[in-house]
Amino acid sequence: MLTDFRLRFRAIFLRDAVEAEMDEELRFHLDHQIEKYRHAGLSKGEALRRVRLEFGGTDQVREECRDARGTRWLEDALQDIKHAARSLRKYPVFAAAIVITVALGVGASTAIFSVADAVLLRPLPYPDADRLVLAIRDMPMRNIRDYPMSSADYLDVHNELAGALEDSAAAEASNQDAVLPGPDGTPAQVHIETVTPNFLRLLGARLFIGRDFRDTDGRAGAPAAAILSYEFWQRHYRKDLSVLGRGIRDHGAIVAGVLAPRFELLLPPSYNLARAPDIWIASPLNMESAPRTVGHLRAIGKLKSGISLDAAQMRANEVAAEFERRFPVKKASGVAIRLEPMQQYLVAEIRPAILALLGAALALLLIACANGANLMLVRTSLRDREFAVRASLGGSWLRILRQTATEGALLSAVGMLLGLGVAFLGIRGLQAITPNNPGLASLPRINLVSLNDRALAFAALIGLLASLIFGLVPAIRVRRRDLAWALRANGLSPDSSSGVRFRHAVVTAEIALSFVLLVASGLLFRSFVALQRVDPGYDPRGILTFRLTGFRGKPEQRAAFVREVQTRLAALPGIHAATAARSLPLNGVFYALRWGGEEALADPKKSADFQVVQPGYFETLRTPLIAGRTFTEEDNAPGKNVAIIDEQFAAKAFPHEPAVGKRILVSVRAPNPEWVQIIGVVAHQRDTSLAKSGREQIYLTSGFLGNQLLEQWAVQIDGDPASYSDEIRSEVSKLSRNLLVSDMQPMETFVKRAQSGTRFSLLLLTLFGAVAVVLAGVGLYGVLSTVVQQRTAEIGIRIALGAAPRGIFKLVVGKGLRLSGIGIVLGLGIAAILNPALETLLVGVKPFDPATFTAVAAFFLVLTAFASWLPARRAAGVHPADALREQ
Amino acid sequence: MPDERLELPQGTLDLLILKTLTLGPLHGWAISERIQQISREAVQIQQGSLYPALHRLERREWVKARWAVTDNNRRAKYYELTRQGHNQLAAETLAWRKLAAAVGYVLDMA
Repeated sequence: MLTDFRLRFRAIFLRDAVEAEMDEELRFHLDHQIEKYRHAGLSKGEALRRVRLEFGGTDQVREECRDARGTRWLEDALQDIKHAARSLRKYPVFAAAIVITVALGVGASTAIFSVADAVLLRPLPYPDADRLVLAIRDMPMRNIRDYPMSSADYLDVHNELAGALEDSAAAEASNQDAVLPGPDGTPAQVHIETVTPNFLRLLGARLFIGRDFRDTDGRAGAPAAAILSYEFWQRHYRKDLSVLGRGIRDHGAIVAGVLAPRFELLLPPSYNLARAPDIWIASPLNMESAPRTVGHLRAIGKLKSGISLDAAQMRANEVAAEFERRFPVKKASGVAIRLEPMQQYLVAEIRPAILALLGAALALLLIACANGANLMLVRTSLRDREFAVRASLGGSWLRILRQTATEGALLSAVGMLLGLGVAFLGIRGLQAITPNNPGLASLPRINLVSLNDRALAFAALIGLLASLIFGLVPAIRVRRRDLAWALRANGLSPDSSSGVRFRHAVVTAEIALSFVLLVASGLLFRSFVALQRVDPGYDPRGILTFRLTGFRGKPEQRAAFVREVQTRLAALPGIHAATAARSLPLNGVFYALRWGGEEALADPKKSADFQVVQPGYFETLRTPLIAGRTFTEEDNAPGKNVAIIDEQFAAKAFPHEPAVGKRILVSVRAPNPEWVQIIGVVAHQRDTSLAKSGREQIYLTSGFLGNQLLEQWAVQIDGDPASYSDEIRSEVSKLSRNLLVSDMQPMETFVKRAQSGTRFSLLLLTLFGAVAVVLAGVGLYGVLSTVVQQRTAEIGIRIALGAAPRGIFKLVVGKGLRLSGIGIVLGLGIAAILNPALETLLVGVKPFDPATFTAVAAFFLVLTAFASWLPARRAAGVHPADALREQ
Repeated sequence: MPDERLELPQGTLDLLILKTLTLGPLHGWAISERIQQISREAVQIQQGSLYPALHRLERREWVKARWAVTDNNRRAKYYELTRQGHNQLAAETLAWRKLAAAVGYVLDMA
């Protein structure tokens, strides 16, 4: 084995030495044989003749010896590669053009493929991830989807679906964050997630030390049990093992265990839950205490192995129907329980964007390959005569094919390697912009994207495809050529030959594909502009937001505390107004509240996002007041049943009369509905998405909700929001050392974040589109130049016969326009098929926006004019005498 | 004289080379000479096929080659039987004997 390897190695890398040895050996033999015959008495000439006769042709023996070495094919391939490299070096621009083209195509598609692979394809990091489902509750009659479940509902689902689900578990729909003193006593914000005791078990979380929750944890009477994340244990407790069994300071829960590192809670971004909670608390679920109308849980289930999703869903439908039968309130809202595969649901929002980008990258790749093949054809046509001569001298077609194939393979291999570099940089770039781009951070596991084996296999496959196209297309053309044509005086074939027709088809396809790409990026551009122009119902400029947590006082002290903070902040120089709310627009989850007019509450359609605010909310956010008045400090009390609604609410509830002064029933602070009076109407705020208008809104005071402590603060300031950070912190710390100001960011960040998905897709699609257009333009230019070059004689004759240069100019430009016209029509057809997939990415523009299509088509016509202008001018300027001399 | 020479059946050249080398290392020309002598000039080796065969055997590690100087001071490539070559020779000799015997039986029938 080793000898075999050594011999082959020598044969390949020390080929000359091996050949020389072989020659020496054969010469030795021949000399001895001649010597022998001379001893036998033959003359020198006679002996030589005899030996030659016996031995046969030495060349043939050499060939056979080479075959016996077993490295023949490789030696030949290396020979071919050397030859190819030498012949390519003579055309560096041509080689560089193909290599760059391939590198761009491979790089873009591999980078996007890696993202798609990590985000869409790779299973979630939980055991049996494919069996995990989210159990989601919808209220179809109230048009509410994915609303948290009440404890009682969850327990019913848990028990009733036991036949289909191995187990199901639930987590609180909001983090109960707390401010806890760190190891050195300074307060730190801590994300706390409350879950059913089986939750971590269901997700297959491993414990680093200690134990998982038991079903008895959290039962009434016993102290709460806590499990820490590894990272929190490291950060907060410096990996102190004695933490087990101790109570968490200022919280009281007893630490039962620490999770293994890097455990993540991967739930849809819209749930707004911390991805890595610091402390997990086992929740006691109590059926009696909580009403069915208060939803606060997200449920996860694991399908029994062997049970299909459909079968489980059927069972869930039965449970939902049973709910509607048993509870009148649910009949009114409607109940649907959806079981959604966890992985798919998690990426449902981002999937269309990734698929669109993948499609775009593949289109770019196709264009790149087409362009490469096109360039190869140009080169082949320039070598027509060389090939024809070789063919007529008996050079086999296969040999020529092997040579062009080797050139193609060499070019695409180099292109592919460079493409991997491009992909690597692309992925790094994507990851680099992720932290500053919270919209991208919602791409689950973007940090895991890497050039892994699958991405490499993908790139290799593409490279192979490219090399096949580059190598075979020109060779096939050579075979089909009429060699006689090539050998004629001008060495050029007529326009109708298959190669030219093929190149026309390639250019047309390039234009069609880049048209589709450009239309897509045009639509996204219009969406982006639309997003920028959206009036969100507030003015984010000059507003600084932060979270204020850590208040330890008694509930009755809360109102005074908040007033104090508000007054102190507003008194700071440069700060005009300060307010607090439960969540700020575009930075939180808004839940629906049921309401009714004078008639019954059971009217199914009426639900609105409700928001709890401090007085001064609308003034601080500069939300226009349309009618009535805003909240005053006097309104901010439990006994004052007043509400402010937005214009959409007003239009729906009181279409023909003023809303101010009317009463509506709401059920929010108690199970039974109560009356509140409408004192004002304000402009609609876009609170969950910039792109969609969203539900109508109703505002209540924190006083109405028992002086609920609102953590999200917003202050309106002059100048750079960031420069106020220290002032605000020090002012707040004067009130209490326990208070913690966190998540300080300008409100414009929320708006940017809401635009980031569109901006990201726009950026990449525009990049792809631009590259595609350049490639298509170059392709078109190349084809037209060749046409002009090949028809120089004909054009010269025409001019000699009196054709006007203008006519010639028109001839060439007309040719270009015809090609791109067909391309554009084809592109329209492709767009008609593909564009509906873009629907979810677009804002304020339809997938078949006529303006975009017209603009892009016009752009391509201009591009065509440019691409044909140079060749056409050259054609028009042909001097008959020169043209004929060239013959 | 040429008429009395025998053409070697396919595949037996390797066997003869290996056998020849049992007496010690030889260069290519000597191998062909030795085979002709021992076979009393009856076996005619296609000299052209000797070298491809030697290279093949070398690659299979049945013989190994090294360059050495001959008696009259010329460099020559000497081939030498390896242990694997010995085993191979034994196996092929046995197979050949069996085949020859079998062919003999059939021909002696009647």
